Amino acid sequence: MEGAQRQALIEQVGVAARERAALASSYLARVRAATARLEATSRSSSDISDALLAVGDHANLDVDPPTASRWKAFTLVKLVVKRLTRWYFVYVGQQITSLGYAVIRFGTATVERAERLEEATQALQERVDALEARVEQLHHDVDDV
Amino acid sequence: MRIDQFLPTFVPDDAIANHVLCSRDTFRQEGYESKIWADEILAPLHNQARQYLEYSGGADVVMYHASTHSPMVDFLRARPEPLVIYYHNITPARFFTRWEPLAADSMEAARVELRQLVPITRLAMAPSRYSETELIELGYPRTTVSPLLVNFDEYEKRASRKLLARLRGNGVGNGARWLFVGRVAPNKCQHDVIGAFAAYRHIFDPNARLQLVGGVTSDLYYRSLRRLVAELGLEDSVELLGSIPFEQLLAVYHSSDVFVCLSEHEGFCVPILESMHFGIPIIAYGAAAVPETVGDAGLVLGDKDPLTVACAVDRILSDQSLRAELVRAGRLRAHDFALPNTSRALLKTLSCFLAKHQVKRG
Repeated sequence: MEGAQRQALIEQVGVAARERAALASSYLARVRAATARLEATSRSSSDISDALLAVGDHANLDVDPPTASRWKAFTLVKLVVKRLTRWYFVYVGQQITSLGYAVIRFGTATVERAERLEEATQALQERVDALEARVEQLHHDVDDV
Repeated sequence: MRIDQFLPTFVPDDAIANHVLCSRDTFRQEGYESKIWADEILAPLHNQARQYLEYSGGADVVMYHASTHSPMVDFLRARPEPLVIYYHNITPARFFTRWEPLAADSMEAARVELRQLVPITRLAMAPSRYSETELIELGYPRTTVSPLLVNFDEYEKRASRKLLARLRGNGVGNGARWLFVGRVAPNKCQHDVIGAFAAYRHIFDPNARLQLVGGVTSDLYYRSLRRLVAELGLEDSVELLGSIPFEQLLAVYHSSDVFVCLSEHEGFCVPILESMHFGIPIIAYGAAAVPETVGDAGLVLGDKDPLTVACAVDRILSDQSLRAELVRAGRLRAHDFALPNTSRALLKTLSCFLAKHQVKRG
């Protein structure tokens, strides 16, 4: 396929997508939101919201481990172990997941409080700067007199 | 004349391990001696390689396959033999920071090691221009592109009949069968494939099915994929098959209608070539080395919005002449990468290197 043909095809696909967009807009919005939550990249290793997101990811414990193996015997062993221990891991897993969510709530509350304090500090700093400028101006005025 | 190859992990049915084995056979057929040395050697490859710490020297050229962090790098830096590296690419750490922080650190360490090898490396090879560019940016003075060796004869083996029957039987009402093969890792973006598949199923084909094949690199990402599948109500149509035996992989290829790759980082992507070999049309997102590997034998998209990908798949599967053209182009492209062609290219590169450095064949 020639480059121009391929480009035309990609454009046709784009047109088709735009035409279909309205047909399933609410479902597509749901799909986009769900996949966006799994975006691979983080903004920065020190970003507090990303760190909280990571806690959220890790808080969801999966007590249903994969049992596939390259060797059939191992698959069988894994299945047997999984069935025998499932009750135990579900019991423990639920508690750890709850703990995870409690940590997220605590973290979210802490982040929000820190952000409010940051805003308040910023506003106070601006008032102090304005007052300092005013005092300096008054000093100049006194000197001039 | 002896060319020894070193790699951190030697794992069966792995693209790097297969390349190393094919390279060794190519060297031997050409009259060179050649052995494989690795840090971790998994069954059934124990008799194909030896632990690298037992290495006592004797090679005229040492070839290191760089892809991950390894203590082997310090070992090689202290060796006197001329060093050639083959850079399979290292996934940028940013893809793993959120999911597997330890793996992210390991990838950072691997990049540091790659930089440390610059002063002692005589020749740096890569399977794609994309990876070669990284080598040039790191300061490697002599670089070249040398294709990955893939032995397509292996793909003529018999596929698992049981799985083939199951997969073909699953196509209730002849729904389209989507496929992606690659390790379950955040840079491979299986979540985008699932999203696009959900859109396709909702709009075009409620009987469509998706098979995701590949071992798990990130457990957390894998679990998130499973939750995504459940959230979108796709439990009955999406299969996360994990790492499967080769005969089952063949069955999956034989039963698929379209290969959808929405990876954001690939150093080459062998499954694209495999799909071409099996006559499966390719739809891919144009990131990293993917456009290079696909060439003109697939549809490379500039964005991977679920609806765009779904419409692209629908177009390819509903337009028979377009599909036939892509399949034909794919088979030609796969032929370019046939072992006789790629091994010849590898030997040519190495012969030029040996001649330049006056390493004479004995």
